Amino acid sequence: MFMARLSVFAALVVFIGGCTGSIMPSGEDDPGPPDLPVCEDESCLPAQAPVVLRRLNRREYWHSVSDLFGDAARSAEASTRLPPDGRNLLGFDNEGSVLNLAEGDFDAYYETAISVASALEAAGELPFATCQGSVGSELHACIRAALPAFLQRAMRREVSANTLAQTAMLAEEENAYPGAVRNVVLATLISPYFVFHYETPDAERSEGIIDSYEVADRLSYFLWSTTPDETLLSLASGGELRDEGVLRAQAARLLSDDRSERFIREFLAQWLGLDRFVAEAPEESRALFADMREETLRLGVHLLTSGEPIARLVDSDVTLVSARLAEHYGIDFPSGDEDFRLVTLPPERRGLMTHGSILASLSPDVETNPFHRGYAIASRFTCIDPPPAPPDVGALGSPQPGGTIRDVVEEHRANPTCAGCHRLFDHIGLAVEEFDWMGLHRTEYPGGEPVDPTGQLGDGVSFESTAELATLLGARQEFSDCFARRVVGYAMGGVLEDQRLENMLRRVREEAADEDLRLVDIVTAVITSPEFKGDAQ
Amino acid sequence: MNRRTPKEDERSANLRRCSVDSRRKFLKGAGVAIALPTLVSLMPKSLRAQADRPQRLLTLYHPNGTPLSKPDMYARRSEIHPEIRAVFDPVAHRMSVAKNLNGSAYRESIRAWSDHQHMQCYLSLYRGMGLERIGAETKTFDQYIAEDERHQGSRRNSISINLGMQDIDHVNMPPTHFNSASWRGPNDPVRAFADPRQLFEDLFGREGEGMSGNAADEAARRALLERKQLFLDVVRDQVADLRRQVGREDLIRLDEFIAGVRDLDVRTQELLDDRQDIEEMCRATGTPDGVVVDGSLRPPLELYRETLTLMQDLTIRAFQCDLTRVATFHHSAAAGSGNIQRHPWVDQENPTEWHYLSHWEDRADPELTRRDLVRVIQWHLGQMVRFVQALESTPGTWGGTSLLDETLVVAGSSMDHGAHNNQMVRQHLFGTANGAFNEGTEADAGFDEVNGTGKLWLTVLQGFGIDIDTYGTSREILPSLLA
Repeated sequence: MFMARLSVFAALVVFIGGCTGSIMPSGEDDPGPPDLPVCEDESCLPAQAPVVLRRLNRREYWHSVSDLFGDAARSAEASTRLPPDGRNLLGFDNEGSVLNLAEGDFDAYYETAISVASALEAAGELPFATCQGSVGSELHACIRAALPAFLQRAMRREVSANTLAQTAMLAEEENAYPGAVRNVVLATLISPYFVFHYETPDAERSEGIIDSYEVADRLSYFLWSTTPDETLLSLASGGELRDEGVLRAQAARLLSDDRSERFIREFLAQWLGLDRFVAEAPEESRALFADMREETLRLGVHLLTSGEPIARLVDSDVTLVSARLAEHYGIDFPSGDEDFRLVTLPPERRGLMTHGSILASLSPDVETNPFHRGYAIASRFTCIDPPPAPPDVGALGSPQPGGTIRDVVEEHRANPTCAGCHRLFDHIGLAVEEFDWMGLHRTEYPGGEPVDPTGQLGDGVSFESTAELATLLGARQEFSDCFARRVVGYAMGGVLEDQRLENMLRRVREEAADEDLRLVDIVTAVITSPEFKGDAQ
Repeated sequence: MNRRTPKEDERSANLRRCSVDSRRKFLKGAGVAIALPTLVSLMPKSLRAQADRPQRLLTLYHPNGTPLSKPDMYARRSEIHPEIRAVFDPVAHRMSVAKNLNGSAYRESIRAWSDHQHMQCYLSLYRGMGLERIGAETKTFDQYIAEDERHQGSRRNSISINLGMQDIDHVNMPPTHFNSASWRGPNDPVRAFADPRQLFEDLFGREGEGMSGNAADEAARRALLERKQLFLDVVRDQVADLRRQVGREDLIRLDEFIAGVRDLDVRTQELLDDRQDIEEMCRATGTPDGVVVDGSLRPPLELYRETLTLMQDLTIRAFQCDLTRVATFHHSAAAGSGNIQRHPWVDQENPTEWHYLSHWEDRADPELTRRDLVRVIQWHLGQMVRFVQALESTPGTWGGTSLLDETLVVAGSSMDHGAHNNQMVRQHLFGTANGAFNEGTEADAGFDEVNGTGKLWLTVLQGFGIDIDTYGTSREILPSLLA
């Protein structure tokens, strides 16, 4: 089995040329960051390309629907079939290129809209409640009066007179409240103004290439995954949303709102590859895996919403566990308590790297693979981006009798063609050999051979254990910078061109008050950036 | 994204010209609404369920078996007589056969009635009172389908139509025992119609009433489709507006979106087109031309042929108007000596009643009697073939198919041989019930005594999505019949 897995891993083996990553040693081997010009005033940048029109992904769609109409609308979710969302190269589901529409998808939107209207009617939660009780022309007048605000919220911008008139007329097809309002719900949910994020780039627009409503849309879906609230729309309407002070205040407001948990949880799940972790788990392990995933997401929410530095994600000495997970880890837990609790970790565990979710999701088999786990952790935590393995890399060997996987790793690293990149992640993988495929701590392999978690980072700094490695990573900027890089990618709905990305990351670092980077720093720097606001060049 | 063929584009353009112009006018007239019927605003759940293509079931029964070539019981082989088989030639391309079905699986239940051989026993092999005590199936299989919400027509109840050509009196049995092919359970026969006027009034209402209880549903259905097109037009307008505002890269996604809108619109228009003719027909009122039936509910012998044709046509109309999706038609009761069993219009050499002929082997001139019996059977099977052809030439109710495409027709008898043998029963099947069944298949049930004829009925139930795994004593199916 081990041989087979090493053979599979051959595809991940990389060669030295072109390896990047800041945990690389300095010197001739280090190509360093791309040699890009500094554009302090951004005058040297080309006009900003707009975010390509894309449909709401499923979670955005349902968050928007429930925020517009109430939770009763979500009862339709299970029975509908909106198009599936893909994942981009960074693992995120909010880039236009992975949000396709196929034949029959409009039918799905139509049927879903009907289901939502039916669910609302069944729950007695149709909108325009103040119009209830009136009929005929009185009802129609009431709906007409309320439509502009409703459609502005649903369509996330001022709506045209034509759209208002058409929607009102569809409502007026019915003379009684439920029918008329159901028509409005249907017309809204199948409208391209609701289904799509879109922007109207205009280089001549004085306020910016994109308009203020489009900034509100970006902001709201970035941090809340839903339609902008009345405050954001009001600021957009008044032309205040581009003001830096206003944006800073809004960043703080949105982050302090419970809805920002959607962003934190979804970002973490997709960044760490956990969004399908539970669904793909073996049936017998599903409950435990769900708790593992919750541990990671809840710790993320706990740390990031309480203003802790980003670095705490990787070196935290506390975590949140359920009774089931505590028992799995061997951590004391108050009996009878069903909820997740904040607990202090034993010394061998520190931060995300020692979470069962990370370790189990990177162990598709009962035998661990240090190459695979080391590469995945390094690429997610430090943003290394090695080139593909050379075609003639061949299969990797297996341990000799009495030997361990470390021997295989060291032998592989002796090959200079492989060493350049492998030194970026091999020892990270060897360190987490301290944990088996289910995230349980171990000091020896099933055959009795001792686990040796010691190693060095690319620049030669040594560590004795995973916990020490976590502490090292937490103390360096690489982890926080990589986190910020991924947040920027998520916020912009795709991969920015290198120059703009570097500019935004520079702004992020400048935003931080000290060496420690916090979520609010990243968010504030992102949303006040010319790239995010679409400022005129 | 271009998913339409040139022909479809042309059709789409035609649709635009003939109907959407008025919708456009409506939309652009903001505030000058063209009044549409004020009905339910959106499709109710029960109607939405019917948007799926319907499946229909029609069973055609004739009594007294089919005279086969002499069955070889030792070799367990029987084949249909060539003269009988030839009758099916016009519809052979739509036919499947289930053969060697063994009715003796119900032997124990049959013993519950003395007159077992003549009972139609058709849709459950046996039916009647008291059978539940011996484990026999007392609900005919068609009723499982009729009671399923997915297979109910616009009346949205479990009505199936049960048509017969005679009401028979019998000295030992209650009349319903002979006259009702469909049973909901012991002592619960489905009402049988032998009078076309009564059938017409029940289905379509008395003169001047239009469709009985269905006009509102039909109007609602049309209004829903037209309403749907208004919504689609609004979306189309919005996409056109959006195209003027966004960048070139964005048009790809909008094109994907609008292609979906256009597809749905064309399909909606097709439904409207198909239903227009049907609605006009279904709204037609007045006494149908044809037979005037006297109060005895028993058509005069000389009008038997016309009555049968009229009953077939009414069944087709009931399917077209979606008044029901399950119908049973039996050409005659099995026993009895009524005139109805005489066939003066058939070129017989020794005209006598059907049941007498069916015992041809015991008659003084068996070959002469057999030839007469073959002619009678040929005539009745010919009427069944006409029925199938009429279904094939009638447009389906939901988009481009024929009624036969939506229907499974099961035609046959409860016996095979003229001497009332029920161990090699043969049934002929036509149509696919919207793709659920295969045509052109011959399924051999293998004289299976355990599963018996119920093997076929369980197969049909599964093809209609009825979730039961046992019917009577049968637990197996004939999988080759299922698509």
